Amino acid sequence: MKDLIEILVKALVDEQDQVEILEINRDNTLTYQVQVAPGDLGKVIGKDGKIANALRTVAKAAAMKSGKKIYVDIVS
Amino acid sequence: MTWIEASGKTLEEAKQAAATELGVAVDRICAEILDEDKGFLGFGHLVRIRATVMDDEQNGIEEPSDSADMDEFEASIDVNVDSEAESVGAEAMLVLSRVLEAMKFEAEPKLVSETPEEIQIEIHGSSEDIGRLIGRHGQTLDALQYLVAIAANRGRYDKIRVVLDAEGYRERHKQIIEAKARELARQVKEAGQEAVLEPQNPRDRRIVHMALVDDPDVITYSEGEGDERHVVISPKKQ
Repeated sequence: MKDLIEILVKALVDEQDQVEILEINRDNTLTYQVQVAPGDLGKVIGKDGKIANALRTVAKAAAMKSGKKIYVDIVS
Repeated sequence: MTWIEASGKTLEEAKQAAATELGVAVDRICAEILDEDKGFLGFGHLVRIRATVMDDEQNGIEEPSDSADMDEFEASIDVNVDSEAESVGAEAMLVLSRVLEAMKFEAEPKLVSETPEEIQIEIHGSSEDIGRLIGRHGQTLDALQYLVAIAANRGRYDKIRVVLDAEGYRERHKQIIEAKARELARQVKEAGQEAVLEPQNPRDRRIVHMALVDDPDVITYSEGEGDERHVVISPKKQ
């Protein structure tokens, strides 16, 4: 699942080497904390959080297969 | 990049407050909703956001707005960009196949067409995974389409639209909406009263408008804002 988040985030940003994803696996819940270069924040959040929400929707569909709950946080 | 927090009774008000504080026009504000306090009986409703100033290129690709429902949908066509369409198409295919593999979905993308206006990709696969890929009301397919379009057009000034389909879902969905629109139009004529549809995205609203544009007895229009925007079918006054 982490590779999915990484592929998507790196496809959106300019500074791909600045992408850091922290995975927290607790009980039945996967949480991803996504960190990008400050100048790339808008590219992963989007207007009114639209891009971040699209990321969450795709991640949820993938997580459904494994029966896990998934959260994606963009941290700054 | 400076982020500030702001709040208001509505998202628009919160964004306006952020824009005032940052000293820019409201359409340059990039905001994420932190939380929304629904209040009690409509009082005390409060939206809290964090906001920053967005570069123009960070706007990403917008869904066609509603003013584009009818006419502006056909984007301007640039000539001599065949090779650019090819590179956007190749990039879209690359991102999409990597994403589908990482999702562990039994699904393969196939490039259907690439023109200077639009890249079309069809995804085939096991019915179970295709169902997951489409999602409720097609929302997963739409989210993926949105992300792939941004990724494939990254750094480009003239964006090329990217349309994803999965086992013919979009055409089936379109036919269902058209049939429903025509049935509602029939009821509107019979009862002489307006019919208010469920909220729909710009693309689905456009399907309704187009399905009834040649019907001499009804008119259609959209009302409401954001996620609440919906079509109304109204009897045409004789």
